[in-house]
Amino acid sequence: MKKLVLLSLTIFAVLLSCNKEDSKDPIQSQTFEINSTNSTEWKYFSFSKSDTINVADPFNSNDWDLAFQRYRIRTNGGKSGNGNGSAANSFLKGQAGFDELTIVPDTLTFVEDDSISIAVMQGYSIYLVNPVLYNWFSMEFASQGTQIVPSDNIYVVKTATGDYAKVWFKTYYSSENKSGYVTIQYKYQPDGSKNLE
Amino acid sequence: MLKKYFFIFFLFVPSLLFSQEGSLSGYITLTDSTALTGASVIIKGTTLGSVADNNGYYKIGKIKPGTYTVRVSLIGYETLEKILSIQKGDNKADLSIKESDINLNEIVVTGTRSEKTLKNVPVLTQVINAGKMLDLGIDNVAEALQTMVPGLDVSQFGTKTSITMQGMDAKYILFLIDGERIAGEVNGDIDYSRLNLENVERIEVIKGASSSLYGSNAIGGVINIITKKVSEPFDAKLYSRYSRYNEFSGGTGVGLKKGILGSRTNLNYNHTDGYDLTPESPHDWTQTPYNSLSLNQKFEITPSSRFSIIPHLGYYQFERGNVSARPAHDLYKDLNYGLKGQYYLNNHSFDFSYYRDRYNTYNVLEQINDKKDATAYDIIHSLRAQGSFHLSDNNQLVAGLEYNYEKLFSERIDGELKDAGEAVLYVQEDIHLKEQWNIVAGIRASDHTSYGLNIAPKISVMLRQGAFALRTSAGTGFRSPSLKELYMNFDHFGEWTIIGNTSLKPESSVYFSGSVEFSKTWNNSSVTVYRNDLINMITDRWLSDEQLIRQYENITSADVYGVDMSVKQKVFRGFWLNTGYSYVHSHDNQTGNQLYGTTMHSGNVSADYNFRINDHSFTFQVLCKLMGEKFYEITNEGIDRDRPYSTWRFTVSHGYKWVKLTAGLDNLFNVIIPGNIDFISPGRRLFIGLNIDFGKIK
Repeated sequence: MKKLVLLSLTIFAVLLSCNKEDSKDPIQSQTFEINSTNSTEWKYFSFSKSDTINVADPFNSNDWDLAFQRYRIRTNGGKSGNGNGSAANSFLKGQAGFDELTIVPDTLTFVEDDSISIAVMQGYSIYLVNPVLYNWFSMEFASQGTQIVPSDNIYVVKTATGDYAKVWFKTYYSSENKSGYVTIQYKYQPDGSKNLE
Repeated sequence: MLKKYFFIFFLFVPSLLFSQEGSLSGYITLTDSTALTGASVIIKGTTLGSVADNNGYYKIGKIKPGTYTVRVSLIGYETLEKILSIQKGDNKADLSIKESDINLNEIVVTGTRSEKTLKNVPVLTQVINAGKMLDLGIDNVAEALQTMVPGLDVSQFGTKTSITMQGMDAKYILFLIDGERIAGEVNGDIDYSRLNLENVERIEVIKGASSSLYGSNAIGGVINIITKKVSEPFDAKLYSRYSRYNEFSGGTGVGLKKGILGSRTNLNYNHTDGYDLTPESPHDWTQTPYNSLSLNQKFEITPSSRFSIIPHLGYYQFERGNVSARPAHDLYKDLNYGLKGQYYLNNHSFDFSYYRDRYNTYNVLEQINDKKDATAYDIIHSLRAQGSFHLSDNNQLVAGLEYNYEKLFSERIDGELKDAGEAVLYVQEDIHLKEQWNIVAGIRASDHTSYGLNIAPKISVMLRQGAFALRTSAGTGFRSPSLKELYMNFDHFGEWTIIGNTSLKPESSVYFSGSVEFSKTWNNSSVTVYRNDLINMITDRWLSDEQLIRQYENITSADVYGVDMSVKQKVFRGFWLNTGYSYVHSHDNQTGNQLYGTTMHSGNVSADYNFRINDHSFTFQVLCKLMGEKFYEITNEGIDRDRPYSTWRFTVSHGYKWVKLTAGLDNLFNVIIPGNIDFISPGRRLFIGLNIDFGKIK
């Protein structure tokens, strides 16, 4: 009996979600945790798949939209890829800012990936990243160890195919307090419009 | 192992039971024959002792006939030692002691690992009286040290407290509680917040190398915290202190003694809401919020006049409030226990001790039902047997055997359990030549599981001429590579890795010092010059130009020399002026700069005024700490340093019979330096304190 109820509920839910797609309801806000603990490999994320994917030739692939390596982030554009990717900072912050950003403003400046020079312990390191997205965090040197503190800025990311998504990089830590787990909250608009409601 | 010791002790018990005994009684008075309450009377070389009652009367029973040294001591009075012959039956002795702010007959233990009076110890020892500190609203060890010891600096970096002394950082300063090491260091600094003054009798500070007695880490000095003993039948104290940001500390200590059993229990609680002076980094607070709790229990069992046995247990926990960007906060728990025994035989004494300390570090995972995730734990075991042989009145030999073992688990050492052990033999000869000359020479040989044999000698000579004491010593210090330095494997944000090195040798130093001390009842002053040369210092460096891996190596050496001065001058009755100044020159031979985190000039000034009107006692104190510029390092952006500053503190306390109220202003001139790493005061703060001495309620 229980199983039957569960089954019918599931079917109902599936029907309901199909309905939504058909009537072009507002796009859904989603949350995803990316395991970017590897400091030499990049993890590729696709908005349309809502998941990380494996990419054989990242530079010439349009399958991915964001790439993660620890706290460094790339878009599929500029020096990082052949796609149309880039990113802009809306300067809105947190959940309120995320809700407020309902349309991509024309005033935003989109920046493509490039090499940036970062001061490290002794000298400088060159990173190929998205320069705008490199500001999603700040490093605070607490005695418990350096911590990555999110800026809580809401960014607009242009995907490989030129669609828009708004993204909030929420935390760098898993619930087990392991670093290198970036949780993003995003809304992806697949129809190519600037509507992010 | 322990069983064996018990067996040896009990062998001697029957001989004591059947001996014919005498007793000693009398009155303890001031030189003008006013009765003194609370003075402690002990018979040296035995476990026997008593405390003078309200009439100054004391009585000690069950003394085996013979000649003994009787010691009378009371805080604020000069300690008296008198040789008395005890006959079978009742013996009477009325003893009088002098009032004194400077007690050179005070007993200290750290310099020679045996009891010696302050004026006879060839290693200049500074004593901080914990009771006096509590009355001035200072309740933690780090603050007391910072306030009282010239050239000792306590700094705070976020959540971590750091100590430096004579230009040496915490890695080179050995902290002991009753002569035992403390587990859970981070870069050499132990968790100072577990050290609360309520449970402390006094703190002994020795500057310079003392590895010949204490082994590893005793390069820059030894700080030995001596906990309270049980001496009175009933003693109960309560103290509390409150300040801004809900900073509260409070505790209680209860001592009981009846017959052969004594007990002491201490409970302590601390809390602060914390504060942040740097709003630009909201997740890195200047003072993080926390709660901490500690509980200590000690029993003193004295089945006979010949031996005593002390089991003790301590628990401590510290939980930090979360202001970080992480979904977790820190929790530290410590459990320590041990057993001490002492046996006296014809002026010789034999000590044994076993001590275990386990310090745990947890991450409390807030998103997983506050699950406690152990990130590190450190366990120390120490076993020691020591004999003090009274060879003649001018010659005392101390010899000891020790085994130290440490086990560490840490995420930063591959998440594996690593250990190291050390077997030790130490010998020290203490010779008096013609009254004025005292020579103490010692050597310590150890065999360490990682680097093998190590020898550390030291010699100290003292010449006392009237009010002057000249002391000089030459000694060696060393620091064993820590388990972290041996086995570290820590990935720093995936950018670079830091790894340990199992072929590390101990860091070592040669230390010379000379001092002149002048002491009279109205002045106690000293000047010390010293030189400390360190070699084989352990630092991490890049293994290759790619800058991916850093490894610990014995690469650095450093020269340090300096002067410490201290003047304690009586202005008039009850009014004392204290000043201290410290100059340190340090040179790191690898960087060519001053050593990291050192200050060339520092000093302190204080004025104390104490007086009494009938049952009322009053104390006024002004205290000032002066810090010169502190150097860290030279970086891409220039010289990284802290600005010089001075802070003042004003305290008033009023005692009436058994209650004492304290109020004070910390940081009187409201100095706030947000950029400084080591100075984290949030500005002027009022604090109030209440201390109650239940033992004095009649």
